[in-house]
Amino acid sequence: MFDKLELKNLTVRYGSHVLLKELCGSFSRGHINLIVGRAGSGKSTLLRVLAGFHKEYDGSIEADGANFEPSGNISLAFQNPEALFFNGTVEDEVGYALKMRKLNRSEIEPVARAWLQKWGLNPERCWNNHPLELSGGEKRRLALAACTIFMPPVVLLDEPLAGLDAKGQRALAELLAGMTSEHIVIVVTHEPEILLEQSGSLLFLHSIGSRWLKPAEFLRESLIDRNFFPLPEWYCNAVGQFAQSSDLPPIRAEAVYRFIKSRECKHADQL
Amino acid sequence: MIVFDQVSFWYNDRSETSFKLKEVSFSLEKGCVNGVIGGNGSGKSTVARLMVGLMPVNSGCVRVLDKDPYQQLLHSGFLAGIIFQNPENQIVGATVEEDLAFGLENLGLSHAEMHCRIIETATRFGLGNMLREPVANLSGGQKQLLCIASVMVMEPAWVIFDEPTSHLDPWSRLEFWKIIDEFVHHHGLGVVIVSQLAEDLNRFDKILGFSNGNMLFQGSRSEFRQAGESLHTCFNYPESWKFEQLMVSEHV
Repeated sequence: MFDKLELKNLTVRYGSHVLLKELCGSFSRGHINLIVGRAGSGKSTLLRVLAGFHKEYDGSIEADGANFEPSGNISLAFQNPEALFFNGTVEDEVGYALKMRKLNRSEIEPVARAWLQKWGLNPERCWNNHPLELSGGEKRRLALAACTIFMPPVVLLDEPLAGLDAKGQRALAELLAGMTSEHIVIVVTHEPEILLEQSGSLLFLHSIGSRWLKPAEFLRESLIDRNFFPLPEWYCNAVGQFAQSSDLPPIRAEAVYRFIKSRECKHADQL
Repeated sequence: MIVFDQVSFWYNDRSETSFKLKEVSFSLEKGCVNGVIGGNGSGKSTVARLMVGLMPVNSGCVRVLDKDPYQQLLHSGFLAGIIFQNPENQIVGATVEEDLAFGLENLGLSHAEMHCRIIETATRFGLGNMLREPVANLSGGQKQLLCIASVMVMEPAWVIFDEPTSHLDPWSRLEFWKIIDEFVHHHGLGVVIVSQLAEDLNRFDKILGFSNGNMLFQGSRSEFRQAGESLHTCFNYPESWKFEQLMVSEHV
């Protein structure tokens, strides 16, 4: 288990094109680490660098002060990970990483069953099913369960919420938040609003310079400059005038309503 | 006009639990943004594929511009174009120009006509100076635009979008809605958008709501808003509407 993954002057290239320049900062355990930015800003490439797949970079990556060795320490879930299922049953799919670590079938089964349950899948119901027979949300959870069963210290997820319905997104957001006590969880997403409450830091990638922001700073910047990040319009309209406030609410109707009411009370008291 | 009359459809696997679209009837018209909503496995993508004629129905009847889209696709071309969720699955050309030309070649157009249409469409979608660009160099948002352009260049009467914004960044999503607005209101294009993003409901004029193969709702956006909580719990309800209701409720 690691506490911190630190980027030191990381410059990432694609041939002669510099994609990320002198990136410094760290991802931590205990909360979800978000990466956001426009298409082509280098989000997925950064995940590939951390995973050791993309080698064209200068600078270093350290885990708890020592050089980080990705092999065996990370799991990277690509976009639409369920498209990569290659086993005939849920049992084989979820246990594959353990099989590759030379565990025998009787050792794998109890671990795999418990792991499926942890990911909200009922092993009694789906153990012998083909992975593709599961529903969309179940497939995503199986794919992520299979990626994490060997307990990698660092888990990288590329758009894990895309294509799921709202119920599936909420369930997955809770599962990801639950993982952060044991793993450094790094998530690339176009929908940070869903995970913002569970996150502690956000890396905003941009061609003119990348920034590490606290969730509240991210909300504030986005409210002040609508082009910085397009938050939902209703949220901007409702809390835009309070952008400088230190306790901006999360992007949920009830939280925003309570926030507005508390501001109105304060205003009335002052009068 | 797209008309579904008592349409049922099931995939080959006919076990008890397998998916079935059950006797669905509706009609959609041009001039507004038609939205098809529902969760994973609700049947919304199946409806999109039936509209385009990718699969024959098991019973009932689908009509697009008063013709059967499946028979039309088999024999003499297409009635409605479809844009899939993931642009990577739809791009066939090595360059932007080749991808735009692919559908036109299949329509058997002359070179002069193809050239005109490619230039015009590429310009409209901001791809005019990228015609020779390899598609691999395009960003995700640009690839999505290319997919849309490659269908639009064939000048279909209807276009069905299957979760078009799920792979776009938030900036490109705003651009996408601008383009849709222009095509629906200024170019007479019939548009159906399949989506499960709650906030997209704000963009739809007419809504079809699916759950587990059943159509639970059809009507306008305002009718959907007034349809009551028992219906709303079956779908993703936008946070913006929840917020408005909270603000209104205190004045009641």
